[in-house]
Amino acid sequence: MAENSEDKQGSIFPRLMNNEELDHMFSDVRGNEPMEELMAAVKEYIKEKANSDDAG
Amino acid sequence: MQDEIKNKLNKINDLSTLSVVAQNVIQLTQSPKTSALQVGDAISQDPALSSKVLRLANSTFYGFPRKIVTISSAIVILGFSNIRNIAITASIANLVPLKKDSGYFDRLEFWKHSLACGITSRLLAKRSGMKNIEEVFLWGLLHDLGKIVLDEYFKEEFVRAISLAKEKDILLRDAEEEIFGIDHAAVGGMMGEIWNLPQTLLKAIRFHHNPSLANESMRMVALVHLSDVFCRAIGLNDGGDSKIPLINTDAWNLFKCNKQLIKNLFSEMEQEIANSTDFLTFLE
Repeated sequence: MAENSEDKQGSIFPRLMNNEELDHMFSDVRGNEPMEELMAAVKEYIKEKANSDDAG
Repeated sequence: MQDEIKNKLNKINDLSTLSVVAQNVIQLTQSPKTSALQVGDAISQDPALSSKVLRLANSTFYGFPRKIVTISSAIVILGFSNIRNIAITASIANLVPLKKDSGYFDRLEFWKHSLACGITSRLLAKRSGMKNIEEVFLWGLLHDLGKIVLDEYFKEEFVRAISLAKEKDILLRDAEEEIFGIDHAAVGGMMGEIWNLPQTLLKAIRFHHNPSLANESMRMVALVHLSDVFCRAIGLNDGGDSKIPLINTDAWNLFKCNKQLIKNLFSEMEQEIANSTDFLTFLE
């Protein structure tokens, strides 16, 4: 799991992964349609969250 | 090795099993004829469990606005399903303490993943209009029971499996197959059977890697399977490996999964999980 810089027990939701970590995690399942869609969802979610955090 | 594991688990059962009170609560809450008073009497036999029920009932996890001061009111407010969940989880947490980190397998990370999976299963169940969403929460919460059983009772081999998963960069369950001949889903199923856990929960534990094998329970086990993979995808893994397993296509199609649904789900997960940290203190 991605390391969390906050108090381990204080926050459950993890630090969101970077593209390199995600690419490694999904490297064995590339080409599978649901997994491609899942990876795209994660990447978009992370990007949108980063944008909204920046705006905030 | 499979028989060896079963024999050892049977011996373990002589030493440590789910508490009698928890077993009574499981049995009572499964019968429609049982009254809240009967369940209250059973829980009151165990002061530690009584206090945990009240603590959790008053936590942000359930978020009731008024303070709940008696077991009977906790039962009425939370309902039998939640009370059963608390009794089973508290009893298991007593057998495999939270604060025990081998250096290879972090139990706090394990419970974080499990809790996230319970929450995600409940969210997916709610979205698809299922009724027994609290039961689904327990399935998600305990789907990886076999991992803590391996960590507690087969430490040396489990550490080897984790090392192998890291070394070969493979899924932990594949490494477990190499070391034990079976994976944590099968081990959890064996332990759960010995502990007399409810049959539906046993199916979630046994088949969460392959819900197609769960026959008539496929829909509910598919929820747990999807939640497990979605949690891992967002980084809520329990530290045993760094790869993601393939999603079962039947489960994916059954819940009409797509990119937008998953993004919405991540957003809901984040909110719900933020309100759930109290649950981890309950496990201590």
